[in-house]
Amino acid sequence: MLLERVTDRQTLLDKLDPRVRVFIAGILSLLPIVVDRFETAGIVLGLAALVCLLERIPGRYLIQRCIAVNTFMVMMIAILPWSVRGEVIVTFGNLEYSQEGLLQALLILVKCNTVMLTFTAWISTMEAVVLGHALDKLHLPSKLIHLFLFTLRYLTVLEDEYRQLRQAMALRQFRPKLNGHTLKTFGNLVGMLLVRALDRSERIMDAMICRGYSGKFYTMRHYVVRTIDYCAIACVVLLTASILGWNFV
Amino acid sequence: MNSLISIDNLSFEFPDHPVLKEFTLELNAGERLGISGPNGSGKTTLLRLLMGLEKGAIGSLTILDRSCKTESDFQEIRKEVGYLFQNSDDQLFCPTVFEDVAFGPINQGLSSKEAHDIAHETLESLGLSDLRRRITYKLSYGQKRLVALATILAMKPKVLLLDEPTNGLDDASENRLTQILTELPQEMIIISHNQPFLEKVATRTQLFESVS
Repeated sequence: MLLERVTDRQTLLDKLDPRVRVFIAGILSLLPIVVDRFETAGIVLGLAALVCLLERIPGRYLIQRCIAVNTFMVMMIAILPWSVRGEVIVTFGNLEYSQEGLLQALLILVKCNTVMLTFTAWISTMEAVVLGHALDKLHLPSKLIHLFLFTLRYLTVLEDEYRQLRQAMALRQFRPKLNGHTLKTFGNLVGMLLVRALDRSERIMDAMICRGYSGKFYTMRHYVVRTIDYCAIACVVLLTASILGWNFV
Repeated sequence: MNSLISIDNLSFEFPDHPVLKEFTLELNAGERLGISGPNGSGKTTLLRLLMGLEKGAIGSLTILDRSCKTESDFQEIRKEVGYLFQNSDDQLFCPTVFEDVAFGPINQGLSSKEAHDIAHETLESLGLSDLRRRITYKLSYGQKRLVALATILAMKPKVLLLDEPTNGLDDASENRLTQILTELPQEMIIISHNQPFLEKVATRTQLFESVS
C-alpha cells in the first residue's frame, strides 16, 4: 500500500529521535550534491548503501526504486555528453560525444543514486505520520504539515472509494477500451471522486467546527533528544567534514 | 430547567425542497430520545440545525436555556453538545487516535497536560486504551465508531446527538455500544432505523414525518 513504511520490524534507526533522522537525512543528501570528485562521491554512495544494508531494506523495494531513478539517468547519459566540449569519443554528423560529458553524466548518476539511497534508508523506514510530526517539530510551515497529515489521513479513504467504484464498474461488465465510452466513463469516475472529496472535506470541516476548531492544529507527540541522538549527529557532522575536507583540500 | 433542548415550530427548507415544517420537539432531563423516520426525511438536517451547521431556519430553538440564533450562540452550544456523525471517517481527522481525542479538549482551552489526562481517562472509560497509539485510518469500522464517540465524550458534553450510531456495526460492536450508551449520564437524541436498538436504549421515541 501507498503509505506503509518499508518494513514492519523495528530497525536500527528507530532508536533515533525522528527529528534527528530527518535532520541527518537532510545533511547526508546535501553532501553528495556538494562533492565534485569521483572518489568522494563513491564513498558517500557506499555509505548510503551501507546504511540501507544495516536497515535491511527489502531487495525488491530497492530494485524498484533503482529502476525508477536510473531509467531517467540512462536518458541523461545518452544526451548530456553531446553538449559538453572535450575529448571526442563518438561523432554523429556535427555532434560530438565527449569523454568529459560522459564523466559528468556518470558523476550525476552516482550523486542521484546516493540521494535516493539516503532517503530510502533514513526516511522511508519511518511511519509517515511520525515523519509529519517530526517535520512539525522542526517548525516547517504548519500549513504544509496540515496538508501532509490530511493527505495521509484521507488518501486511503479516497483510494477505497476509487476501488469500490472501479469494482462496481467491473461488475457491470465495464472493460476499458480505446473508445469514447471508456473516456466518458473515466471522466465520470474522476468527476465523482472529486465531488465526493469536496463533500467529504465539507463534512470534515463541520466535524472540526463542532469540536471547537479555531484555526490551530496540534500534534500531541513529544520527542526527546537523547545521548544516542547527539552521538549520531556528531558522527555525521564529523564524517561530512572529513569527506568535504578530502574533496576540496 | 426541565427541558434541555426545545424546538418550537421550526421550519427549514433547502432551495429545492422543504425539510421541516412547524416541527416541534422537546428533550427533557433524564431522557434518551429515539427518532426514526424515512430516509431523506431530514433527520440528519435536524441535528445539523441543532449544531448550527445549517442556517436560515424559521422558528425557535432553545438549547440548554439559551435561545440559538446567531453563529456566536452556536459556538457556545458546540462546547456543550456532542454530535456523532453518521460516517466516522468524516469525524476522525487526526493521524492518531490519541490526538483525535485530545483535539476537542485543547480547543476548549485546556493545557496540553490536562487534555492529555482527559484523553487518557476517556479512552479508558470506553475500554479503548489499547487503541491509543493506533493510526486512525487503520482502525476497523466498529473501532472507528467507538473512537469517534470518545472524541466527543472527551469534551464533556451535557447533551449528545447521535446520527445512526449502529449503522454498519456487527452484533458484538452494537451490544458494546448499547451498553456504553445506557451507562452514560448524558441526555441524548438518537436517530436510528434500528428498532431493537432504540427499544433497548431510548426512553422515548418520536416518529419523524416527511414534509413533502
